[in-house]
Amino acid sequence: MTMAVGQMTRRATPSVATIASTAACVFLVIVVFLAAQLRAGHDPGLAAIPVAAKQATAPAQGHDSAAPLVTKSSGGG
Amino acid sequence: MTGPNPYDYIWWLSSRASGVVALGLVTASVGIGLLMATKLLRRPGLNRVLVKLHEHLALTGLVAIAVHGITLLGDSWLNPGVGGVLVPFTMSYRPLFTGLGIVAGYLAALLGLSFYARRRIGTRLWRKLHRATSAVYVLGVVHALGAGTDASTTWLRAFLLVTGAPIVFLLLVRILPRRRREAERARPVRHRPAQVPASAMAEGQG
Repeated sequence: MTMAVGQMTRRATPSVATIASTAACVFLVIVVFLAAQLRAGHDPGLAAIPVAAKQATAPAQGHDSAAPLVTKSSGGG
Repeated sequence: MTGPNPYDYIWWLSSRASGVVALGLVTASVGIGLLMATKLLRRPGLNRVLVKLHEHLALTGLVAIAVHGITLLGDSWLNPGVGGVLVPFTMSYRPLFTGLGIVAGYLAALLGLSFYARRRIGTRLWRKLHRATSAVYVLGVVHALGAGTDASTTWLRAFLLVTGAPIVFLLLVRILPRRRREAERARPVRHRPAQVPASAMAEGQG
């Protein structure tokens, strides 16, 4: 019985490598999520210039007016 | 509508992601530490598993904290420099909240790694020091809410709420009984007249 508990305990404890690789996977998932959010134009750190301000600004020659103008309003971690 | 290219912001995105991972790992490690301290779960062999898990989560958390700071160095917009990442309250962006995050990082390293020096510093002192680890969690949450880009998002708030509730509960379980014991110890002892059970009195009379 003692052996069984000991073996179960040893098997149940995740190693540093397991935890580190799980954390790395979670990190990648979050990076992909944040990248998709950014690509979709919904990043909370990138504020789109208000439409009225955009209309008041004359488009520069050769500038693609369809492309969204964004500024990074927040850069913290 | 398509936004900017994520590759242009890869360092910034990596820093945000590693910050969330670091907070998750610190939360899990502190939670398991509190669970062991409160002795709410008792099963043969469980404590050994929890000690190892607590240690591994803390070590991985320290690596995630380091990644959070290092990747921020690559962000050309924030451009914090090595000093800004290493010296608290010197970063131009929200210095108070970023500074608290840096202090939390140092505390996590100091208190976490003190485990390996507990024999040298004495187990009693180490235990006292280790209790302050809860402060790392609190500072981390304050840093995330005050300086984090994603602080306004529903998913991060939900994450903080779901992970924070058990920590607050365990902290209360840990702190309250000790306070009660200290209050009882401080209260003057009154000598009450000895109470004799009614059955004993009846026996004596009979």
